[in-house]
Amino acid sequence: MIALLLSLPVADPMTPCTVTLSPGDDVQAHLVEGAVVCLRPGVYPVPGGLFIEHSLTLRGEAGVVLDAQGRGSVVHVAADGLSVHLSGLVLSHGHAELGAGLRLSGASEVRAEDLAVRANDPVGPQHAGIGAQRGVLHLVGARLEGADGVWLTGVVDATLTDCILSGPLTLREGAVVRVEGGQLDGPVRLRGSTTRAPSLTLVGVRAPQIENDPALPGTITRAKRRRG
Amino acid sequence: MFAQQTPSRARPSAPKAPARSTGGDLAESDLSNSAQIPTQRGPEVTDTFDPANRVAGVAKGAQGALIGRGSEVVLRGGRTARSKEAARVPDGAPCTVTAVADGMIEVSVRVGEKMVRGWTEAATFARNPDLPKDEENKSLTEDRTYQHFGGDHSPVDPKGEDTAQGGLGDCFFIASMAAVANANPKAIEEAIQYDPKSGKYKVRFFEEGRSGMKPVWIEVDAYLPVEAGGAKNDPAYAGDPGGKLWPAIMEKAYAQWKGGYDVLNEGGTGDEALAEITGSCSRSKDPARMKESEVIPYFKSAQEAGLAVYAGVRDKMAGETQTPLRGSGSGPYSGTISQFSDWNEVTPGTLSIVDTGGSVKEVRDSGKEGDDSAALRGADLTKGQIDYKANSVELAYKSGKAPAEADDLEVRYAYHGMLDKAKVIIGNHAYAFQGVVEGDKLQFYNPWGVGSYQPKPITAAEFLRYFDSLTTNAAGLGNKTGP
Repeated sequence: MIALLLSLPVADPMTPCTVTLSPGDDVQAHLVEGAVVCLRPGVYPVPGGLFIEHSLTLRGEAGVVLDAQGRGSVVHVAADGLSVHLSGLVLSHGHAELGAGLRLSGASEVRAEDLAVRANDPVGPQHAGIGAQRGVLHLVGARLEGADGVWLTGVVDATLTDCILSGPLTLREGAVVRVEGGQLDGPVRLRGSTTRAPSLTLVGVRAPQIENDPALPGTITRAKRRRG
Repeated sequence: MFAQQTPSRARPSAPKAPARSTGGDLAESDLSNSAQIPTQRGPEVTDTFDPANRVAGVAKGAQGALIGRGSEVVLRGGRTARSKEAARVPDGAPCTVTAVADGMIEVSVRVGEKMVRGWTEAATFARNPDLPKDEENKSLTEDRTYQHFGGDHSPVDPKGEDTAQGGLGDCFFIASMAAVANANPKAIEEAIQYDPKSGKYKVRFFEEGRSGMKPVWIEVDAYLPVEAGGAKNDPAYAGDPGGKLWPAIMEKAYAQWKGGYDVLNEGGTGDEALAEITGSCSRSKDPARMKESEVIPYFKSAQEAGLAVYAGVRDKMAGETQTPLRGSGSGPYSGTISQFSDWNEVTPGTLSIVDTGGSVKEVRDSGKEGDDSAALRGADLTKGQIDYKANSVELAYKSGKAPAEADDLEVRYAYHGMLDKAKVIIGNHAYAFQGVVEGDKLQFYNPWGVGSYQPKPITAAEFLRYFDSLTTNAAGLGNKTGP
């Protein structure tokens, strides 16, 4: 499934908008197959969050805030086999386990650029502002503020490039994660099961607090960032 | 009763919390999404902790129990039999291995209210899932012993009502077992195999790999945690005295696979647990996106299709605005927020005190999840405090700042605990769907077990008000059709 996902085309970030929305418009209604939904600056109330069931692009201009109003994940990709591109969004006031800001529970590929995840209320000990259980997740330039962390479990391939995390980065089960550049200010936690272990590769980024479970540890690889 | 927002859900004796998932639609394609369950050609044990291999398997840091075969186990201050006795611990005492040498192990064991160390023979040790920390003192493990439950406890005609969650916050897993047992008892029967020769069980789960679901067999013995010094034959976690023990066996195997009972105590999600039990993919739907008119037809369709259905209740609700504060002038003002259930507490971070007369500025609490109390903040305050356990508030304003009347101070908040006393709906808890009853009402099963905490049938509107996750699973029967 992962190999199949890696072959899926991810929408070009410069693809022309198929629709441009303003605050007050119903964003969910425009999340259709192949859409390139562009959002003008402003706050978009999305009570219960946005539910993505199609391959699409959701692109915000500077100052776009999606506000889930305290219920559900702000953006949830639950279906399998999708290619979803998110960019330029502030995800706020989500209230959910395993991804109050962004949740990936389907075996899909999500590429998210320049996300800010803040002022969410993650449920449970995961403190997951972003959470993924399945699929492929690429985060580029994401900023997770406060206690909002990243929770990756199950069978997930993830890359975090130039992301800033003040909360925890947690790897469970068989998550395979590469972190390149950026900042990991919160704890990095790894724990597998008796049948699999998570894998973390750190490239050009310091992780001052690593908590690797002594009984069911993950594997950690460090490398220097190549330049030029 | 719900002292804090912990990440787990357990019986009232040890209040806990969550497990859930969201999103998705119940389409026909969702009902034929089962991975093929492998034929029974004898399970290949993926993970086994064989007491016969205890010595070879023991390493520093290992978690388990000291098995005295009915007798106390003597711990000594040194590695030899002549060393001074350090402590005597009960048969089945949980322990952590701190050193290994010459066929002997040094272990750390809870004795009363402290942890003691001592040496004993390595052959005494049997690996078992790690236990949670004591809620009152995190330097101690929970006060349990492992008791042997002899005989064959593999499932025969299993039912959801066989499950009874204990003092562990794994309602997501117990409710998932119940939902599967309701939908496809055979999936449970096939998953647990007893070996009368060894007295052990092999339990099948499924793990999602890069090429789909594959079976994982976990072997466990018949030692189960019970309360130290408590009643015999009363499992501390899943299971009731005299009840079916297959849920406790399955729970132990799941804990062993995932890294310990303490890991299960962190909570989990029903969509994952259902898939791990059945090998079928789970499909989720967000109740927030359902219309009231869709609810009953959805559940009827799922019931007719024989799906396992799991649902999670939201963790908190907005409470009714109250004016409980009494005082005058700049204060102090104090009062107790009335709750309709003794279990209920103000959820930290949700309190707001607003002066409807507009004389003083809004006050908010500074608490966060897990706090017992917190300071109040407000531009006109000199001091203020909320005790979440007692639901009591006390505050005083700066000189010259005062509401016109105490009754102008409206207290707004969210609460957690029992969300609906009449319908017995418990917040931050997982339930297994049992059926549509009375024509248009939903009956759920509380995994705490048969008794007074079972919910009453609820309407579609009540379902949408209280539940925030809904997951279906084909329960290992991939050829089902549905709505």
